[in-house]
Amino acid sequence: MLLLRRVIFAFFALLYLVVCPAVILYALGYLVKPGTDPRFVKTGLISIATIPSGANVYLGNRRYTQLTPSVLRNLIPGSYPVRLAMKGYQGWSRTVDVKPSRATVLDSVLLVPWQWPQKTLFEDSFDDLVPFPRREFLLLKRGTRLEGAVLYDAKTSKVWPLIDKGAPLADARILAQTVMPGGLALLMRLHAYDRELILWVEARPRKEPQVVDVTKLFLSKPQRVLWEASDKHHLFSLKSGVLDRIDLSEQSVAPSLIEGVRGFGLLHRRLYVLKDDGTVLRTDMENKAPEILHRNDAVSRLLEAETAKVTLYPISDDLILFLNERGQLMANQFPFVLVDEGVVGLSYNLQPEQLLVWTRTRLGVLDLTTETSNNTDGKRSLRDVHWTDVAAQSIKYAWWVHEGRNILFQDQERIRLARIETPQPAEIYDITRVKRDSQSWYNESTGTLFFIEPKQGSLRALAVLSRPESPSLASPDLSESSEIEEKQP
Amino acid sequence: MIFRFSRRTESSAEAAWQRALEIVPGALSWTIIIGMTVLSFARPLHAAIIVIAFDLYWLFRLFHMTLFLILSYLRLSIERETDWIARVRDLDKTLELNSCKRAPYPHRDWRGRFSNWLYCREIETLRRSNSPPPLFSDIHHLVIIPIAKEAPEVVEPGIASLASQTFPVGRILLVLALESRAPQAIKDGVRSLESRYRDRFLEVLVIEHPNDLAGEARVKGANTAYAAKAAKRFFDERHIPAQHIVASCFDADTVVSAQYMACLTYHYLMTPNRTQASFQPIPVYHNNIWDAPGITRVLDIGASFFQLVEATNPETLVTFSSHSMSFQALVEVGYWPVDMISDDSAIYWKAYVHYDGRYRVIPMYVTVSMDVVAADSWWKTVRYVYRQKRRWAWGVENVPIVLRAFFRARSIPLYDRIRLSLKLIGGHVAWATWAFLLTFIGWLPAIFAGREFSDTVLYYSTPRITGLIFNLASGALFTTVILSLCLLPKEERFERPLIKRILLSLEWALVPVVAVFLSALPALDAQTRLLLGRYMEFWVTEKRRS
Repeated sequence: MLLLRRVIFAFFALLYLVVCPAVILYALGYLVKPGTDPRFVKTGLISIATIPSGANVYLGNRRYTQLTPSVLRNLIPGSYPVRLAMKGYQGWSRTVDVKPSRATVLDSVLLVPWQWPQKTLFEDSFDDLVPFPRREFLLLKRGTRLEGAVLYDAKTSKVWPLIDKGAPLADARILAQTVMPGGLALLMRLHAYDRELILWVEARPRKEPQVVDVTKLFLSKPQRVLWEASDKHHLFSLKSGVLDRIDLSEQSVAPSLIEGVRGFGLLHRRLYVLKDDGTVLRTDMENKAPEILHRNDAVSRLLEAETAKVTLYPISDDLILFLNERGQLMANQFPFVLVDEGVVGLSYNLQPEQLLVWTRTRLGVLDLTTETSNNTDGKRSLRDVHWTDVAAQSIKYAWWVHEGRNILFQDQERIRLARIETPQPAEIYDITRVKRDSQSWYNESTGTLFFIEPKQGSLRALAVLSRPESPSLASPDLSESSEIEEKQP
Repeated sequence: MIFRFSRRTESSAEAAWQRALEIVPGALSWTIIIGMTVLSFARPLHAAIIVIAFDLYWLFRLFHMTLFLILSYLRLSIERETDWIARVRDLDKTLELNSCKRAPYPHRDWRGRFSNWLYCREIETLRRSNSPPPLFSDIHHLVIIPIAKEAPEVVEPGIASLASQTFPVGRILLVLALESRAPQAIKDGVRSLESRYRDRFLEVLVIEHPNDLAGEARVKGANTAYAAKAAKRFFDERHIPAQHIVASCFDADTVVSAQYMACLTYHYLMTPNRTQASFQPIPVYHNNIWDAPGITRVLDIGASFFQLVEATNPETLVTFSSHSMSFQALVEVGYWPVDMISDDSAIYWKAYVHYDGRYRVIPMYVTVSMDVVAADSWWKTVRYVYRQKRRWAWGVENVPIVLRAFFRARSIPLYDRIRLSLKLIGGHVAWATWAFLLTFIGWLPAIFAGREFSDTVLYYSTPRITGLIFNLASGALFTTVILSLCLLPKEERFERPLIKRILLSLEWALVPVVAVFLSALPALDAQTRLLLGRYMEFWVTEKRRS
């Protein structure tokens, strides 16, 4: 038994010493290239995932047996023409570079259908919609009167009028409305009986909305009102440089909470305030523990020189964006001025961490994950905005579609999809048209676009993503071909 | 070599050395676990390569172990039918006649022929060794059963099995080593057993081990050493020489087959230099296997398999649990350590060091059956199993003592010292780390891959290769499942034994959970305690019969 054991041990040891390096080399992409002059080559691979999945993959003229998501392995470095085809969808093709030992990842290829699936949600005719971002409610407006406004629950398809016909405020004219992302409340400014009224409207799932007149809580006509979606009892109202705090539950006002305010924002129950002298401070909701973030530094000097009204967008504890009336976008990190002018809107994407900005004619993406170190003080700095010209005339709204690889935007009455893949120019697809001067809204969690149909004015939903998709990991698949693809001449 | 095999040392320098070496196994294990975790975040590429290399190594080891498991099991099944007492009785004549008589074997098939072939080889080896065995009629057995809290109904089946041996029971001295701190009911039960079985054996001695003797810890080894000394006095009074006595130390719940003593006698007689040898049977846990939860069943079958594999490598075999040894060796080395929990393995190392490396363990392909840990609730059973495995893993306490001894034992060949040290340390470290590496840490590079790693071919290859390795490993698991079904005792009381066996097979799906939480974790716990100097007290495992 001892001798047998030693022989078997030696056999296994030898086998391991041969197999292990071979497997590791294979794992790293090394293969023996067949032919008259066999040699080791460092191969690469292409990983493709599409939305929806199940597309046919063609590499040159060769079709792979595995549908997407798929991994095309053992590719000699070079350029490969990749084509994706799926019934009902427009074809997609790209020349892809394969590098040695690297994976070229195409993990969010959105296939564009020949016809976008859409359906009518509500037949009545409307002129505009106001979304409750990240929630299931929409405010649908018919004309400018309050009696023409209804609340639509996209989950249950129920409709609730904001006010009964014949009620005293039925004829009130809607001037403006404010909604906070993720919240169920809406602040409405109305004009009725020769004065301005402010209503607080709270949408409630499966119940009619609660409408409360909160005019008396506003000491003056506010220029800007903000609240956090998670705390709908405390509002902050800015007028002529004075910030008031309103407590809806106690029906009280804390006037002049902070004075000399040029702009403010909210994040995680903390107030971010820009003062007239350029000081940026952060404080709690009662202003009991203010903390100076910027004073007499490059940021505050830049903001002090700015005279226009500024809106603050706190993104994280150390990144605040400032957008003034001219559309100049600034940040509290180098290079401080991100866009000189013309910014109409912006949208933050968490995964990957990116900022979408748009002007009337172009879309811009700012990658917040990478950091350059151009400055000498070692602090974090932001990259430049990468602009994409989408041949637009007047972009009003824009949204991320599926993890920042595609952008849906409303250009006047057209809804269009931009596929952004640097460094190639964006591909633009027309999706649908909406009613003139109406707003549309894209729900990222469901992949659905809500809009007012131009002819009948009905509320429609269009499925941009067939179902919530997430990229899949490569799985061990022994059925894939292991043929080596020759480099394209 | 004269060496005090104990954690307690004679000088402060030695004490420092001991303490430093106690840190080694735990430090190695934690370094591997934490190191691989950190590497998975910091250098996922390198970590993935190490994971592949390790997984392949594990696969090859698995195949290697499975092969020897099969061989060992075959040997066990062959020897199950061997009539040991007949061989032992005929041995004198066989040696005298200088011939290998065909041993009586009921089936006379290939198993019988193979067993006979082995027998003839052993005869030849013995003849060439110039180490003539004593006469069979001179051989006596000493069986020590330590009792602390075990109820009589747990102990009696073992005693009854000893009383039913094919070996003349009148030459077996049974010593019930009773702790004086045992409850009175236990003591009364032991006395009752003594009076019932006294006439069957050479003698039944109840030796009450006093509490807190100087220099002793509250460990089983102190009890059995005390009992062995009493047995020595017994044999001396009757002028029975130590070299004619084979000592066995059984757990309180150990039940042996009727041929066990005959098998042990056979191996003792057939072993050249028999007074410098231990004899290790294959432990199985069949006493209450059908009453225990599946999770403990899988674990203890795994322990039996481990011993089966170890039995194929006598060069590195160490005594475990119920075992036997030459009584002369036991006396010469100073009996079991009185301050170590792992007395079963410590006695081997103690003897190995004492005899300057000229000591070995002879595997015996015969089983001894013990209880599976079982309590009155599932959760309590799991806790008890955890503690039991931690106590087994406390065998790591041997590492610093053995290393200190090896450092001084210049007469032991350097190659042997290095080889055994590496096996001892490596075995414990593998016990504590492999399950974690395979189950959790191996997947970290892929899970937490940053862009730098997720854009590499390796990132996509690793799950594929690892998946293939685990698929191949399932073949070895399948073999293990089949063997486990073969090893289990007959289940006459079940109406549908086939369905029962199918359910038993499905229990092996618990292996990943069992391997991590009831094997690796207790081992890591034990090594960490040793690392931190938190020495364990003995905790008697609760065993229950339905």
